Amino acid sequence: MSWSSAARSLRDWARRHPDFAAVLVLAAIAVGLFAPPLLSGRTVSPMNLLAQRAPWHTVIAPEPPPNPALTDIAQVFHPWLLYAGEQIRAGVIPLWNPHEYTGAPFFGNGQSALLFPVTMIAFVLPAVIAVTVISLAKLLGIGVATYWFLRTLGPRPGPAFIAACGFMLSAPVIGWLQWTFASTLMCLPLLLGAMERLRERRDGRAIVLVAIAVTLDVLAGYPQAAAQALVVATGWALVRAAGPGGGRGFLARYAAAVALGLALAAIQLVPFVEYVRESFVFVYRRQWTPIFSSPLRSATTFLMPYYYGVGREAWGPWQFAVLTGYVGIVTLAVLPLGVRAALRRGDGQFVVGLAAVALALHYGLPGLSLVAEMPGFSLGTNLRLMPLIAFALCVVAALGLESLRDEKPDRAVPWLVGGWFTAVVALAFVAVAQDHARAAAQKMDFSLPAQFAIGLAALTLATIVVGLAPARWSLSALAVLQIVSLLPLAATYNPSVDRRAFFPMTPALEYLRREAGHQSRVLMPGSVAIAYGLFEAQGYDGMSPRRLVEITGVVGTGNALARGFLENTVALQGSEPLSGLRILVSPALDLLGVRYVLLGPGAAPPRPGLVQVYDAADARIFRNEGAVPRAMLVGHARCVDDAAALAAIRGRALDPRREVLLAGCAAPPASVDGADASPAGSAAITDESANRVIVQVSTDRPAYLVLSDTWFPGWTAKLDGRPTHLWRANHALRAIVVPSGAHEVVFDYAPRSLRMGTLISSIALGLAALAMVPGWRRR
Amino acid sequence: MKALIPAALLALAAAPASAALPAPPFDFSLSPVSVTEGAPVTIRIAPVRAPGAGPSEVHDLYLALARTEEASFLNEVGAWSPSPVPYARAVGVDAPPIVRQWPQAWPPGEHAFALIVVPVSANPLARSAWRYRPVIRWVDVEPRATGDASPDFATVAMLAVATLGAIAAVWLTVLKGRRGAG
Repeated sequence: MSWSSAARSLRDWARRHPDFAAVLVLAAIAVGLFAPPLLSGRTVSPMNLLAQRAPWHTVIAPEPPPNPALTDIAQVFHPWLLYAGEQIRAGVIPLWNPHEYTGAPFFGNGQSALLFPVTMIAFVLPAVIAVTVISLAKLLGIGVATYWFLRTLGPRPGPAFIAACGFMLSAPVIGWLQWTFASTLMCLPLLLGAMERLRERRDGRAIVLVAIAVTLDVLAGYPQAAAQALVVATGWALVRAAGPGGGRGFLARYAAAVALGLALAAIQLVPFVEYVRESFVFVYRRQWTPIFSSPLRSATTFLMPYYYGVGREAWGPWQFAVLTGYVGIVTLAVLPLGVRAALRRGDGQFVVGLAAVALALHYGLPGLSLVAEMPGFSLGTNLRLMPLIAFALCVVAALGLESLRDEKPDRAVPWLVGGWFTAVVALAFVAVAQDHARAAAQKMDFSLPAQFAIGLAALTLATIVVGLAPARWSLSALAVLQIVSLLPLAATYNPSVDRRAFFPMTPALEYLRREAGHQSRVLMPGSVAIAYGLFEAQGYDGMSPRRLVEITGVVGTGNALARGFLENTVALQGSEPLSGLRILVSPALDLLGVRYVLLGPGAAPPRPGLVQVYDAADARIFRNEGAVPRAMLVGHARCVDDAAALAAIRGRALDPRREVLLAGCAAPPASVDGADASPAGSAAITDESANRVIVQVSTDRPAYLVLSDTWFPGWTAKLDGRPTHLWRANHALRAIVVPSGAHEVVFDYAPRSLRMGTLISSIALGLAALAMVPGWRRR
Repeated sequence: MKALIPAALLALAAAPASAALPAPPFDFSLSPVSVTEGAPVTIRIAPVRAPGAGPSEVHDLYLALARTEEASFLNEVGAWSPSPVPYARAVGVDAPPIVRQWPQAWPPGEHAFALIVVPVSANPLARSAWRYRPVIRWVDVEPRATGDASPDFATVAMLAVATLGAIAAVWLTVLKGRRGAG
């Protein structure tokens, strides 16, 4: 068989199975982006960011140049996947993360997404491979879900494929790909597509399909995006209710499906709500969340994705993924036709309206700030709307491409595409003329004039092809143009590194594992102790246990502190990290058991009381002689309210070796002798897993066992196998009373919120199963 | 319109989740909102009637950068301070508007200014002590053209020619193509 006949056979097959062919090409693109690193011993992970810090600077090469916008991935999401996989493979569901924040909820933190199917890849594959496969799966999921939704909406395979490519490889998707945010981006088209089925079919299966989409959206691990998707879906339902197959019946089925979906997700939702109530982010955002927006000029990124640079050369007001809206050159070229086509149909009007409102919020157009201040919206941030904008624009583009296939001559087309092209390039030219000097000062590798020249050429070509449609070849040409215009960004934005650079061990880290073990906390750059089985008091999960933050001081990256300045609380939204520097300067350093401080080679002791114990090329380590052990016996207690406890800790008026401050009592338990003498004995953590700490205690008199781990609802304690009261101690930590003698104390984390959520989800699962029974459908 | 009622009810049901702090009894503006580095900007702070703000209430007013990691406060002569310095002290809610020049806008960049209204002598960085939410206003300070940041007119001219050429090519092609198709 010759090449030409093979190609002809392939083309014939694709014509007979266009949807299958489209999905195969989407899969080929996703695999093509991620297979090379997988097959060449690399991993798609921004570990090169660690190369700038001790102790990793000796073992990780700073190549390719690190992109600070990906810090969350290196310090949060990839360490979490590593931790989750290790725990699950050891047979433990990691409800708690004891390695950060002196302990914090892990399952319920809203972003660990342990129940989302894509995350489960990390349960079966080593994390170093799983992180790449997860990115591939997310990208493919977004592409296929978008394509499926567009097909349910009406466009034929060609337009749907081009638009699906536009969203799948768009800058917002690629920019957020390694966050759990990207997982939610496959759920929105899935949800809207499922709702189309619900409109067409009145059976229980259609309700369950929508419910599953809602559940996945919640489980995906980005609560704000899940809430936004539900708002969009509810708007979509209201619009669809007015059309064929709609009516009150459809709305009722939709409401039932959402309720069922949320109930199915209760196992995740209820623990999350519990953490929200105990989180610092809620304290801040309930008080006030600054409403920020992007400058209108950043709309240039729809033509030039690197307008504001990337990585070290970035010069825009926000990071790349926030600012950049690039959705492919064809999407941009066909937009006026898309808007015209969309405005002729009810669902299209909704999508255009959605894009308009999201754009107005994103760019802070006057008046729309009222929406941002609305209840619920005020707890989030406008700067996460770009993926929604990209999605809406791609749907509009699909409708525009579909309208191109109309064979009837349409005199308006040249004026629309020509006028739009002229406006876009003229405005972009003005922006480049004004900004190119400012951008040049940033030493950008890809200068603005060069970007403009390429964008201009690509948009010219795409507009000409659009203008010449419906020529037979035009759709194929547009598909090629779309992919070619998107691939460079998709292939380069998320760097890959040698697998050996994925949380590598260094001598300093081995020293800490040996010396600190489970008994002490460490303080080291970033928030990656979890990846090494170490324990730290700083942390970053976007929530932050509020009582811990109350004793250490505000959350924040610590960059201001590092330069000797005050941290700016005005800029904070509460979801920032609790930095290591904040812990270091806090009066609670000793109280939290931070015994080892790792700094760069040659560093001076950062505060008094630190003794140098390790000095090598990778790091210098200091021991904090004042730090208490994680588990410790204390002979004296005081019952105080929160204000008094905070005043004592912040005022350094508490000696944690001698005294413990108890909350929720009028007088200390009578069983403990309140004498000032400290008990003679020992307390040592002998075993520990994600949800359990076991302490062996020996004491010559009744005493308080203080565990400098975060107190949180759901923790219980057993003394020699019998339940005992767990006190909230020193405002944020835990303590129990132990009688004299030798004892085993077991702290367990089994939150009632999880049990309640599991019960609700189980009932919902039963209802969903019932709804799937064919007989039930007929009734 | 009926379809919007459930959405409105849904939003109202979520009212407890809205931001708790009320708007302050002062508003402010920056004029112009886009300047070249070193040019003057007029800052105007004026009381606004707020529910519950009694005539005897007085506040310290701070102007701070709202997006930087390091705290920065504009003092009354228009210089930046790394520690809290009131822009105006003990201002009553019935005081006349404060209009001052920020004589030399600096540093370059798009800055979000926050007007923070706190009780007299309170620390503006202690968020738990805030009684009003800050007001945010933007100003774009463009860098002065020096060295690397000076415009390259030859490049701009070439881009202008290319842009005009592209526009002409598009119009000619699409108009001609459509005529042919029709």
